[in-house]
Amino acid sequence: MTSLDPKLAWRQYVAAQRQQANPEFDMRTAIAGSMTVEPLEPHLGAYLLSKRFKPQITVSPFNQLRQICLDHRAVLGSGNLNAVVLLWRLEDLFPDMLTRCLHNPQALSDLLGELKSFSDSLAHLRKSFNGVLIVSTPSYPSMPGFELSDTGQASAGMTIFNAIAQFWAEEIGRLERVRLFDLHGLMLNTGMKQAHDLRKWMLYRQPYSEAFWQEIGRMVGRIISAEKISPKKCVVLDLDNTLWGGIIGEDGLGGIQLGDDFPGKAYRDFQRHLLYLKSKGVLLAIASKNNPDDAYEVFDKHDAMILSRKDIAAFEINWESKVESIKRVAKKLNIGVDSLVFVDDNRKEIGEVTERLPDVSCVMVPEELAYLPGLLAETDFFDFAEVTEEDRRRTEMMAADNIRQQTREAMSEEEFRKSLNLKIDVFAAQKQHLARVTQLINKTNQFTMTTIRRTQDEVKALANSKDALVLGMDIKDKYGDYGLVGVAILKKEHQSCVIDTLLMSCRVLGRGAEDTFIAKIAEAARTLECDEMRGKYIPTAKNGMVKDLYQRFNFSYDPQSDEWIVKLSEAPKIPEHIDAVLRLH
Amino acid sequence: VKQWDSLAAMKLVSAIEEKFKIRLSTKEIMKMSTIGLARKTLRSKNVAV
Repeated sequence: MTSLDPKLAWRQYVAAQRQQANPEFDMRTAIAGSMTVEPLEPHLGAYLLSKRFKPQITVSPFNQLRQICLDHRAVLGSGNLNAVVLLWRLEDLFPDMLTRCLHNPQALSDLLGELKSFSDSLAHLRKSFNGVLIVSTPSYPSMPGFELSDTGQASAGMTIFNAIAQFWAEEIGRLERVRLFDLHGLMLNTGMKQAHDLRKWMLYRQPYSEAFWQEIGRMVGRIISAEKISPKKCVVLDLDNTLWGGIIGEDGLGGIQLGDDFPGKAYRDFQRHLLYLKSKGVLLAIASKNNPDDAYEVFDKHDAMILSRKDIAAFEINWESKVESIKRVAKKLNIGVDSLVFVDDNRKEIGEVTERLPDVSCVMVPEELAYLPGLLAETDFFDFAEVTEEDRRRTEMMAADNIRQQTREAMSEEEFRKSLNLKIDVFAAQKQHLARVTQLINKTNQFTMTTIRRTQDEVKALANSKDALVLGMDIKDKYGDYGLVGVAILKKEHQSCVIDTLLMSCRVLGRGAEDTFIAKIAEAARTLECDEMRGKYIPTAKNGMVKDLYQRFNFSYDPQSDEWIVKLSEAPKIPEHIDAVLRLH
Repeated sequence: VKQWDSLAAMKLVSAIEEKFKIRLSTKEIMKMSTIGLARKTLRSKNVAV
């Protein structure tokens, strides 16, 4: 029986795992803190369970942060950990120094010196630990002298805290691959008083209320999940009573509600949030039942519109069902419907989409419009492990795609391909490519042979290994730069080169990019001193499009190993119209 | 009880507060050193145990 209480669900899961002789876990997490952090376990566990992980959580003894940094295996065990979460507070690590800071300016620089040494030990941990490392930001101290209730003057505590926070941000910013958990921000969001439970602090060195632990569990869970779960790619928006109040077809340009006064303000702020999402690489699309001219007029002429036409990657304004419009948006943008979030104010439309396209995440405009601007901010739909350059430029790249599409329709396939001046660059992935490579590994569902997901640290380890190659592929044409759109991971096994991972973004298919990529992979395999390549096709619900890929390129199937094999001498040639290079160093 | 420590006490207090929707003061928590005393404290807060 499943329970509605998430903590209970976690306890039942832990009990069930204990019954098993060799339980399997895919997210072994250790949590440690400068305070008692036991209450985090059930909340974090429940969140990870809800995201379909099989988590194991170990809680390290109280206040062992330094020891963990110096030798994490000694404290956390030698088993393979996927993630380590470190929560710390200024008032636990440096209580006396903090108090001195209030009276003596010199004390602050001493404290910063201590922080520097703490961040140096974190750097050491980062080097010795390969999994995901999550560290909290300094939070405003809950201690005498730092009260925020003085009348008539700015709090001295806040000035000190700001200096500390800024110093820490610079220090931790120097470390690569440390995921920051904004404990201070979460505490602001919850409220200092709501977040703390002074009774439990006094009795058990456990500072937080149960409700705040739940918030922490959810936020840390989101950070961990973002390493492996792909975020949504596009918000499909209704127009009337979603992007503005009223109905444009009836109320007209002057009659709709959008501006500085409520309710127009709620819609306007919602648009601001959408623009922020766009800057993170989320695509925006419209699915609305309207006359296209009426709707475009608002985008082009209404003074209070935050979004402009160029911010929207796909418009579907017509009188057809939303289900059809949404399907067309997915097709136009070349993404699966499961990466769409649909926002509408109409319960019936939401119901129909939920029923006919269950993979689309539907969100209803709230009854209370004051909550509309924050509607998507509170969700985990757009949790990116890292925002890459490709993300920021996505809408512009889509615009270039539209021009390509129009040109293509005007000429033959052959002429079109030649006219593109395709340039393809295949290279061994360097440090600066790892975030994007990892992103593609974790979000590509269709053109992918094996769909093996990996964290950035795992990818990095492969890139540094001498028996493996992590290849990226960059594509440009005369209309623009696609950026890094293909990834292959090759592993040398004796004389054979195993294609562990082979994937491409669907946007670049069908112009000879596949042929080129496989030809360059073969070239790279030669440098590993191999004479053949082999690879598996692992079918999933979504990667049917590459079922015959290896066959197409003359690989032959070996039923014994369930692999496709080809001699390097028989690898495909690079099509004539493509200008391709391979760079391994 | 073997393995009984302050951590276990903290978890028990949290569970009691959650289960009976009450809030215990530090004095009340300190007093609850045996099952009998815990029952007495809870009854004083109108919890039927």
